[in-house]
Amino acid sequence: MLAPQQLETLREAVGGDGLIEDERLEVDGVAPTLRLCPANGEALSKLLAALERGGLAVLVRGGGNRLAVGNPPSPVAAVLSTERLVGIDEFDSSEGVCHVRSGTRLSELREHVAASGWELPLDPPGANTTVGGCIAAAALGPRALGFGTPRDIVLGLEVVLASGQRTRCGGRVVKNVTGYDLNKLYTGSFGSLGVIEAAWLRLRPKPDRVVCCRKGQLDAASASRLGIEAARRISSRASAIRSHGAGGWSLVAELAGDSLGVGRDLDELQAMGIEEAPEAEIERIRDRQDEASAMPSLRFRIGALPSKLENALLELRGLGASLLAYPGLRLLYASLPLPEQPSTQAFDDAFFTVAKIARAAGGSYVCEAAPIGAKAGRDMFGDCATVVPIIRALKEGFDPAGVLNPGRLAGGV
Amino acid sequence: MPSLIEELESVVGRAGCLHRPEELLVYECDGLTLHSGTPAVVVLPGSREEVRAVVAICRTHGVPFVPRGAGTGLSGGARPSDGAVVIECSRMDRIVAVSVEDRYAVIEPGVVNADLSKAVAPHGLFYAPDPSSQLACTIGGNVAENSGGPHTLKYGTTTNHVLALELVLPDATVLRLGSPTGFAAGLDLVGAVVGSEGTLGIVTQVTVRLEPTPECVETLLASFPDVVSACRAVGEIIATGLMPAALEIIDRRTIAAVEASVYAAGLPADAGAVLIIELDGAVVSLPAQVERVRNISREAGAAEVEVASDEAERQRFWRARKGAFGAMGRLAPDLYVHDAVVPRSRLPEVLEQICAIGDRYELTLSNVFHAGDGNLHPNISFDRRDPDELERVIAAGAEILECCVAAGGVITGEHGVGSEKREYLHLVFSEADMDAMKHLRHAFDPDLVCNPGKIFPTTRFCAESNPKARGYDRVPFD
Repeated sequence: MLAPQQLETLREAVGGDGLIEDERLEVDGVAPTLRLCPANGEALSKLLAALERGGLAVLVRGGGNRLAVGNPPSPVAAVLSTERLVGIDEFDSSEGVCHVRSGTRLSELREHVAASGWELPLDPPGANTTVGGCIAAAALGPRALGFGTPRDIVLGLEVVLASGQRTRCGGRVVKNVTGYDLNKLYTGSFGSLGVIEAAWLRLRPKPDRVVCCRKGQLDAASASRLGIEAARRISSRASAIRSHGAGGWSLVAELAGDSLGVGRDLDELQAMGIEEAPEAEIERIRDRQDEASAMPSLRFRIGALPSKLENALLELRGLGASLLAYPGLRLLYASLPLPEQPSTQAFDDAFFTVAKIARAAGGSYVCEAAPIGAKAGRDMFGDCATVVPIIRALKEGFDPAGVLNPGRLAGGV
Repeated sequence: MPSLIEELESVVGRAGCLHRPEELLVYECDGLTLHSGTPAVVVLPGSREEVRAVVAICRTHGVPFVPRGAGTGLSGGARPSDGAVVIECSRMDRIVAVSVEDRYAVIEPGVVNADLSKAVAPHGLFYAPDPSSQLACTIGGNVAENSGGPHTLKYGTTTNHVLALELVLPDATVLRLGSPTGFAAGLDLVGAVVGSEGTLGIVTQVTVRLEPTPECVETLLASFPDVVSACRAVGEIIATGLMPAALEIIDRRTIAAVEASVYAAGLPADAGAVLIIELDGAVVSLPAQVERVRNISREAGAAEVEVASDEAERQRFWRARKGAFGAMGRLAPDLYVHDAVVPRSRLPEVLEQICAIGDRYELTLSNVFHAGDGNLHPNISFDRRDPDELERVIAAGAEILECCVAAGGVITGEHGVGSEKREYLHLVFSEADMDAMKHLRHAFDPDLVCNPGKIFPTTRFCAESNPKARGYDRVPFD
């Protein structure tokens, strides 16, 4: 609990109605009761400066979809929510770029730009995902194959550092090497280096034609092979394979582009026995990508090269994992059932095996959701001890007092 | 105690250690010949272990070091500070591994950009970033500068193609970042290192993404009465949802220079500008796209639109574009290639202003640029032996940057800040913005020994901002 004087200081900094005292969020056993909601960049700056001066830490929250990701936080005084930092400040429909505040929902932005023939190339799961949250978590969805990932979409960022300093990096232009590319550093840093206030994003032209396709009743080998084949069509913008319990595998792909190109690629997929399917299939895949975080399991995101995908899937299947893979993105999601008798040894075994599978697949892993018992004493970002000294040095530079999401980055930084 | 040179020779051999004045001459600058410095010694390590040992020796002797690729950079990124050790990576030129199935290559930093595409071409693959200097520049240098090229419009810059990196840090430890899958656990440090202009460490191995060779390529050359109408066509092409592989404009003055040179490509002498449009993709898709581009160009005022009928003709079109800088050599002994970016829609007015600046300073200024990205390259031909002209070149350059920033742009799109533009960084970024960037620098190089004197204004990036720094960055700006 904060002292009345501390509360008053924060209320003054964030503005009267930006301080809410009935927060019920809990992340890995940390349950702050206070929510701070600055309404603009200036209030965010004042608030962060006040927090740093007062030696208070916060959890940074966008839409709240990916709070399970990360190491357990150290105790915090409050949740800092971007829910009031909303609005599309600029949309240049001739250039296909827009400037949007971080708390704006992707769905709102998507609708806004679609009216002028543009597409927002971000499609992570979560209906209330915000622009800032998506960037901070580097969150992607099945269409990242065609869209690119958030690091490819972000042109510029406005970020408020823990000191309250308002900073910018990148810009509104599509090509830029002016100074260090801090966009990349902030994208995927989960708000631990600074709070994203607004972003310049690059849009994509809406395709003439979009077609979804599906094939079921596959085994792991043919699903992997077809998943890669589908991903390598010129117009492919999504290719996903998923397991159905003991019932085998299915493939869902999406083609998008000019009508002739899509038509040709569709013919080729149909020759492989992949049939046209309702567009909603891709939505199901997206939902599936996130569903494991809603139930008790160990959910891993694992990098896997196409040539190693089948083996990785088979080995994970052997652990009883529910699986979804994006072969073209060299990525898979595995949800392992919790051990019947959760113990340190059981969790050690699971993490050890996943690490081994990820290494053999040519990639690394992140544990995106786990019960607190599984998080204790383990790094959710996998085997990244060699980069932890750099991450620690970055944190010391950007947030020396540990105001933002303390403990959540790799190495418990 | 052995001397610096003796110690370095013990690692790279006498042949790999250059220190006689005549040997150092060529390393005084990169492609930006206006900025130079004299290194103490140039070493040519042949392996990661040798790079490590060289960096460790630099550390022991308290000497800063400067990574260097082929020296084709245009912003002074490889310009040595006086007394520094230049670490040239050209001997580390092995293609370590190519995975055709997984579409990536592991290479050493000294591999020449074009050589990589050539090596993987038999597998139907290529490496997409294609800076104009691709026949000479190295991938290590491309990583340092986040190099682009004409095909950036569709394929992105170097940062979109680097999956993993190995680098030797200034404390002589080796750090491996990323993975061939492109996903790294933790922060995107690969993305932070690409484009850091050799100030965070020396890259000793790069894993890059390879792209499938396009099924079909169509190249068009449209001639316009003026640059403004060519820019209008570019805007229309993008606005209609097409994504060409390249959109390049060559202005009247450049056309004249090219046509008078060995790069002559038969460009229409009376054209105010030509626009090269390259489309790639599915065989079935391109004919309709070619027609759309042709129609848009005509509606925007193109007098003529040629479509390359074969590879030879396509190469002819590109010869005009790629030979442009070489052709400038006929106009004057020196060429200052500027690099700035503006929002595409502002191109016509900014170009007008840039030409007016050139005229006002009585300079020979021409433009050849990546119009699809809004990436301008105003080129000033001059004679550095004329001090008055040199002064006007510098003053005009500053005004050009100010004009681009005022239009919502930035001071460099693909050449980097280097030593060239560090005093202009404040046009784009505030002190607070630069302070944030310094946190990245300090995390990798707390003593500021790695390529000092680059990116940040000299007066602002001194030891006082980092109590741990030894102050090597206080190198005077020549």
